[in-house]
Amino acid sequence: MKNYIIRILIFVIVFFSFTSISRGEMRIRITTATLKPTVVLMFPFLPTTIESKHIGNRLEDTIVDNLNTTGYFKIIRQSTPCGFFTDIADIVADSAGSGADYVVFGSISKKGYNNILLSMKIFDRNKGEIVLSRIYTSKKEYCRWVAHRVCDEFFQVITGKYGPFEDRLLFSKGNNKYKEIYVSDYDGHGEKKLTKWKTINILPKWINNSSFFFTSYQTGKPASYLYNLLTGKVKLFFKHKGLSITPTPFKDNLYALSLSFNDNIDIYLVNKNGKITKRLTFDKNIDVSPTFSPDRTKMTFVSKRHGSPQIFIKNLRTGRVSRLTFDGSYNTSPSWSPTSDYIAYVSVHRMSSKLCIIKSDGSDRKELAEAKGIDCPSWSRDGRFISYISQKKDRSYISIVCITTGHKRVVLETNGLYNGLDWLSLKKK
Amino acid sequence: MRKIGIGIVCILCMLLVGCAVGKKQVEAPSKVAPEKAISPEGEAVGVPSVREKAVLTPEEIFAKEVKESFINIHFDFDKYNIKPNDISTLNNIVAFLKKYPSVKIRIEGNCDERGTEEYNLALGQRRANAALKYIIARGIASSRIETVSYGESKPVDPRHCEEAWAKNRNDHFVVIDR
Repeated sequence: MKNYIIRILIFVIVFFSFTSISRGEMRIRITTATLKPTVVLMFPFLPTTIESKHIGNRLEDTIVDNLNTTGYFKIIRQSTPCGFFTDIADIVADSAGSGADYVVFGSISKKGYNNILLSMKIFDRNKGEIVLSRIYTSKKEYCRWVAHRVCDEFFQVITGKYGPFEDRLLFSKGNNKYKEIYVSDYDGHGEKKLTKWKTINILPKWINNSSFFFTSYQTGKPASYLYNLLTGKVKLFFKHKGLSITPTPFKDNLYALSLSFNDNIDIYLVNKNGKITKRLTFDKNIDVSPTFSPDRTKMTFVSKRHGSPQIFIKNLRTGRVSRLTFDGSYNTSPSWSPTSDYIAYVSVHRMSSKLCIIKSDGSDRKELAEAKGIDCPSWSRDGRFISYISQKKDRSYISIVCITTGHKRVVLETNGLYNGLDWLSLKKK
Repeated sequence: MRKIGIGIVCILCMLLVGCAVGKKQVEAPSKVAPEKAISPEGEAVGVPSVREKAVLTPEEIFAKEVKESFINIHFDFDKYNIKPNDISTLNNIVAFLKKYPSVKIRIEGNCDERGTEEYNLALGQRRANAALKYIIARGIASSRIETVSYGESKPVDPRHCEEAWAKNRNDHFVVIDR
């Protein structure tokens, strides 16, 4: 009961921190005892043809699926289209008694041979006005993207922050012999294999929305490669006599990566040509997994300098290094939120592991998930969700958890292994 | 009395086994002799006799010594120090490399599935480096040895239990050049 009250208090604090920075209004109602979700009343899109009806159904299913991922919403689906409201009084009348905060409605039609046209509106019942009115056209096969776009814009309207639903996951999947790099939508749909090298390819990391780094053993030793999604071309980025692990983008075309020299494994900066420009850590033990604060003034990393792997923070201006984690004897895989002071990390215990978040000053630690083999926490661009890998028996999973509601959802699973995951969390241009 | 009886039985058994082995050693060559042929160079080819099998070729001796010497060494969880009971294995590898001075090897550092991917890559490297340091400290040139870490990517035993994890925390030794 005590924990429950603490969770509610934490949620209230997070809630008000959101509302203070958002231009819109967060519609999550909080009472003293329960968390009441935002209610969305969704009418089927009015179709002009049988074919557009099927496309409309797919769009609606994807929109509902996206909204359900968050745990913020309660969706009420109507079975019959409402027509395309022209009078606000009609909307209010048709949604009366539903208890809805928002009403989603619109029409769907075919345009030309292969295109669709979605005309959609979202009505805010509390404000009594249309808050989103859009016309989307796209090729039929990209209707899932349209649904993601609708939800991202819906999030922008109600929270002031664009949603993460158009973003994609990069991951490594395979068996004990081969591992290849894949990309998919954030919800696991549209999975596509990118490498077919029949070797070990792991730890992909986005550079921007059209290219990424990964580590491959193609030549027998781990080396970093750069994959261009627009051209499909791959080029060797960094090869080293010893160990080198996938670079993480820093700033100004600089990238941080762990390298071994003699017996030391430290973190270095390299430029876009793969030339080492600076050494960032100085310790005779293991230093890996660099990740940077949103303003790029601090770096978190994992170090064994105190005897067991723990997470440290280096102030890049002063050079001061301080230890962040003290809970348990094995804390790794830090990932700094792209929008806040929270750092996600994995706390490994004998038989299981926990996905945690903590502020950079060591306060406000929370456990978001517990499972075997949790690894590679990766934030959504809006800083509200974290994707991560986990295992159960002989299956591996990629899941998403909402940091405010704690709502979890498995988006991908395999009877093989996932080795590396990154959610595109780069600032939208 | 009972002990004397058991002793007699044992002696009889040993005599029987001895007779059987002796018979086999004598009879075996005559059984395979007809399958022998002579090559143009005058050397015996074809299916070798049992006696010939006992005389191994240099290749076979090499392979046998690799198999006997190149045994995985193991580590404790999150450790990379060489354990005392693995010293003899490393000494055998040193002796092998001194016997075959042109041989080059690779030390592959591995980890169990617990822990996280990036950290395990670094830990595997330190495990490989630990064996490397021991071997070169005993007079083997570092140019003859390369190291690689596979982290948790190459488990020997795919099960998810303590017994499997103990096997998977290892250094694996491979000949890469003769």
